[in-house]
Amino acid sequence: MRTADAPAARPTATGRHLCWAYADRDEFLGQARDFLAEGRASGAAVRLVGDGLPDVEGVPAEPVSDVYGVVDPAATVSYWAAALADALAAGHTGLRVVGEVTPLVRSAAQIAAFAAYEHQVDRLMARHPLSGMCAYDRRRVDPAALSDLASLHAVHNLPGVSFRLHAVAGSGDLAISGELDVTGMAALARLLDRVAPTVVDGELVVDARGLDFVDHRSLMQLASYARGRGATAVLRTPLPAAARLVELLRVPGLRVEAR
Amino acid sequence: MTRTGAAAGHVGYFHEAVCYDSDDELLAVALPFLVGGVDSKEPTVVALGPEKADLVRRALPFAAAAAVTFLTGGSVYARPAGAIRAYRELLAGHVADGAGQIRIVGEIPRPSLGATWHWWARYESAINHAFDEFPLWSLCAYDTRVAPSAVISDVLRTHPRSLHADGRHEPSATFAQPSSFLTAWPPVAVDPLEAGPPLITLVDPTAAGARHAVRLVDPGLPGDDTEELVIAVSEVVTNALRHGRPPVRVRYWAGSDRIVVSVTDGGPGPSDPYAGLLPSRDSTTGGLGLWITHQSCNYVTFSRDESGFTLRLTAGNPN
Repeated sequence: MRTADAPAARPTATGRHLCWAYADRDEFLGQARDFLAEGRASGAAVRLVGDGLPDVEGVPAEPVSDVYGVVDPAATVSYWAAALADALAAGHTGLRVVGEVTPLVRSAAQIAAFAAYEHQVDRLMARHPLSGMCAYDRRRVDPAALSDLASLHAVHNLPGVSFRLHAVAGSGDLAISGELDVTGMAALARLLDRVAPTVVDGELVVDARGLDFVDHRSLMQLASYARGRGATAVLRTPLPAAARLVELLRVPGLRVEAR
Repeated sequence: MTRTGAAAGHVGYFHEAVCYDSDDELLAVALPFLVGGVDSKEPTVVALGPEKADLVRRALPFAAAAAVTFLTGGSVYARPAGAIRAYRELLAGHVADGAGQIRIVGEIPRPSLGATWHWWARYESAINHAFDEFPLWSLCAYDTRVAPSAVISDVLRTHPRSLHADGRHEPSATFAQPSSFLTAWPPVAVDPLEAGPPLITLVDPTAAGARHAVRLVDPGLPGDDTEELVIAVSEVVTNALRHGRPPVRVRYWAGSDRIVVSVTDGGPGPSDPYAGLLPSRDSTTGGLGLWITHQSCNYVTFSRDESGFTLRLTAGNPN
């Protein structure tokens, strides 16, 4: 489990996207303070979005409705892209945001829309100096929904989440990390539907360098999803197990590239 | 397409045992069989170990030796489920090319007549079914100088007939249909490691927890043996949790050259007699996972007692 508790200062051209699930408001505020202080030290503009929050590191909290309104994934991603451009134009090295987004994931429809948004903004952050900490109050978010939302970050602090579906730093390509087995199949199906990864030249490429295990059911599920999109799933992983299972099963719609 | 020799007029798999006690006796049976295949322009295959293959090659007429395909017996007979798959593909290829009959003389390597014989006995029984869609005539050779009597007894129960040096084709009086042989579940010899306490015992673990424990007990097996066991343990524990009855108990032993994992649940075990040996695409039974398990371990046994069903997996050297 990769956790978010030791953020290293690294002013780079790509941002970081992390999920912080909390049950203790003060503990969350401490994490937010560290995250914003680190951003400020690296020359980034900093913002804090959340309802009923005190100032953190001297940054006043903006109401959630002012920033997100009704979440429209593409429009909200455009909003942050424009905010980043403004920050860079003003001489900052990037933009760093803490968002307490619990009010945005109450209904099933909201959760679906926000999950799609989380992945789109993850791809933006993977390619640009925009960093975000998405904070969720675990006492007020449905546990299954919270697991799904945490899975859409390369880094999160939620225990018991078996895999992560995220963008690769630099390229923004789709990555799956962690362990894929029967316990994660329902979540994988939901997340693939919400994320709708890009098919290029008939291939749905998954960077699986961070994958520690994959079982035959998950491989067949990926293949089936890719076939449904008219594509071949290409799993890039050095895992001997993945290559071995694909050799045994010869599943149509699936290829493993050992790297 | 017509069939030739003793299998003329037979439909499906003509499965014969050859129990020989000298090289001359093996040649007396194998040479006419192979020459007859070559003369009839049938795909004719030898899958013997290197010494016996050499013996046969040197004894064959030059033209016949050139027409016979020699498979290296060791790789064909690495694991039963792999042998079934490899042979089925070979046979399907020859049938697609128009063969009216395929002849194979093969011998399971000597090490497999020892500690791991149990799953090879299951193999010999299962192929009566698994190869029956092909016009195959095969001779399964057993050297009675090295095969234990219990092995020969299983050979007679799993082969409908045998061929003798004097040319007699004799039906086996003790032959058992695969559906009965494969569901008899005779007692399985314990691995000596099982005499000691397990290094780890898990009750109702997650598949991830069961996989992790394999790495904890790994003595550093060479190659991909440990990784393949991790795949197998994951499949078996997933099956036990989904299809078995609680509690699911997983025990781990390790020696310097192997890891043994046993998975016990309170259920009756798989109902499919061919479980593990043939792939099942029916995801409701866990049959594909069992087949993957048989392809990923160096030995797999099934056993059943009053406490439930136990699947034992061995990585590394099972002998």
